[in-house]
Amino acid sequence: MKKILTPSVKCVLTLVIIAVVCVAALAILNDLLYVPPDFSAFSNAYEAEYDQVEVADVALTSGKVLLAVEGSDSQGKQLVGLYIESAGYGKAKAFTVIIVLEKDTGIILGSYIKEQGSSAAPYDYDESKLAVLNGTNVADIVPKDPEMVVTGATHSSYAVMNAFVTAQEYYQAVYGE
Amino acid sequence: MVFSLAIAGIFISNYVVVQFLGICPFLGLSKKVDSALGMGVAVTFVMVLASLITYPIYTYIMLPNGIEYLEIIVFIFVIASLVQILEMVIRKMSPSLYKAMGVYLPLITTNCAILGVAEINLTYELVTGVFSAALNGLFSGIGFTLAIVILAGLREKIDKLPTPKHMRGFPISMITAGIMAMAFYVFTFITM
Amino acid sequence: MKVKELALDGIVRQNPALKLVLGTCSILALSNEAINGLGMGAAVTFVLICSNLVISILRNIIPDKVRIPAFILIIATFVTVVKMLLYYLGSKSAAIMGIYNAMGVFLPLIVVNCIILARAESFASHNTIGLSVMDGLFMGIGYTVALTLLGAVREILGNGSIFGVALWNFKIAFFTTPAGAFMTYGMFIALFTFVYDRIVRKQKLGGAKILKPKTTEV
Repeated sequence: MKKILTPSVKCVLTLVIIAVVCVAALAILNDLLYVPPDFSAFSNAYEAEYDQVEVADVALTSGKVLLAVEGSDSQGKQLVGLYIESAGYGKAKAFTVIIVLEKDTGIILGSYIKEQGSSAAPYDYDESKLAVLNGTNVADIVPKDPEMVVTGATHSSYAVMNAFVTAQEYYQAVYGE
Repeated sequence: MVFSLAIAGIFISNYVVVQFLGICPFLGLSKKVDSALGMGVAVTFVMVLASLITYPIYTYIMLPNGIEYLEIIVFIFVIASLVQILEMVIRKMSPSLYKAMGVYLPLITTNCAILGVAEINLTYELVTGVFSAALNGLFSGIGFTLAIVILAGLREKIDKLPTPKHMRGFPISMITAGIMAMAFYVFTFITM
Repeated sequence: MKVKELALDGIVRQNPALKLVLGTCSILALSNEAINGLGMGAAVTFVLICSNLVISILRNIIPDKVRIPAFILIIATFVTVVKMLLYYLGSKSAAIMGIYNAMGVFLPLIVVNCIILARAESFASHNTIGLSVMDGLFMGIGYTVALTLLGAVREILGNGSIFGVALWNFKIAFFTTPAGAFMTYGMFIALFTFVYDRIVRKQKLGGAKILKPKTTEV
């Protein structure tokens, strides 16, 4: 037994044991300190119960879908929620927009801007403008239509629009016919 | 895409004077341009290799298996091993180079820039795959080398000037680095 | 008695941020606001204490040839612990989430923070558990104090606020930029060295020997 425990074996063994203990400790801690993903953001756009689904790999031109959820509201309507980081536009950097769509039809049920991107001027989006979009089918969103989310800050509204275009493309690819 | 990575890595988000990564060798070694250049080249080399290895391990092995919390341990292990291998290879292949660089090689392991680029690759919007990760490593390393060589050149001159006693060493290097940072700050206004 | 020595070492005589000048990357990056300095200092102190503790416990077991890899492994584990803890606490408190986001890539970079490895190598591997923990604590406090002060200066001058509380409207944007970080830190080191040397010199000419300079390097 002593013959096997040469200095080099001792070295490697010590390292391996330390590594195993560390990894085990971290694995336990990882489970203990688990933070469940926060879906309250979606409920702010449209009140419902949501569960996370896998984000499909879709080629998107104007942004990224960071999180996708599906759910159903009190009337049993099937919903799709998208947590979108839009590509910026000009001086406005990426906007994080939450959009909730009806799963079967693609009608926008609710949306709001979670995080406005940094831009040259302070920008307060007009919530009522976004509310007007509710009831429109996401397929009918015309990219870069300035009437849509206009506040006078053109770059920022285009950046927000990019989020809707992203939702349009994603919905069409994943849920469309 | 390569162009964006290059400009971002070398100028806009220069690792040393903008992102504050790799300062220790920047301060400690940059007294002579040759050693600075050597360190820069070695660091760039390790950065590329580290990016090439850590990115796939994280994306294709760790994420799918939900063990991404081991990221720090795995990454530092990879980097330390890389540096160890590099040291052995240099010692075998070119003893003279080893003698010139010998002391600096183990220090590369604790260089913030190497672990930094491995971490940044995971969340950087311009990095979309192994190739862009490696490219980011390359250009960040070039930026690092650029900064460290410039500072070495400046310090070679400064060391010949009379400096107030308490400003010698770190303070004057910091101030010089600050002036360099001001120069590079201009690049941050470039939007692409 | 030994505790007082260690305390003076960690906070003044061998202040890691201002005298030894180690871990500069984190100092420069996290000194933009006082609260960030405090948060980073707390994280580093936590890792210092824990890693010094474990390494001191294992100091007779770890073979000399593999001590550096073993130390790095242990330090990396505690850095991961801090990261998990901060994220967990951050989900409960927005202030902590703010610090977590401000630290960004520098949180995992604590593992290559030279201070921790240096203390492990030069102190914890040769000293008892109690002393090692103390050493970690005081080194951490020294680092935190320096970093928070630096952050306070940069925040007051650059943003007219302290710990997020606005003071006045006078802002010099320079101090929020990287260049400001370098220069302020450089001046801090110069100032510290100046005051330290003054005090040491005064003692040599008589007076209380509080800051007896260490002749033996630890």
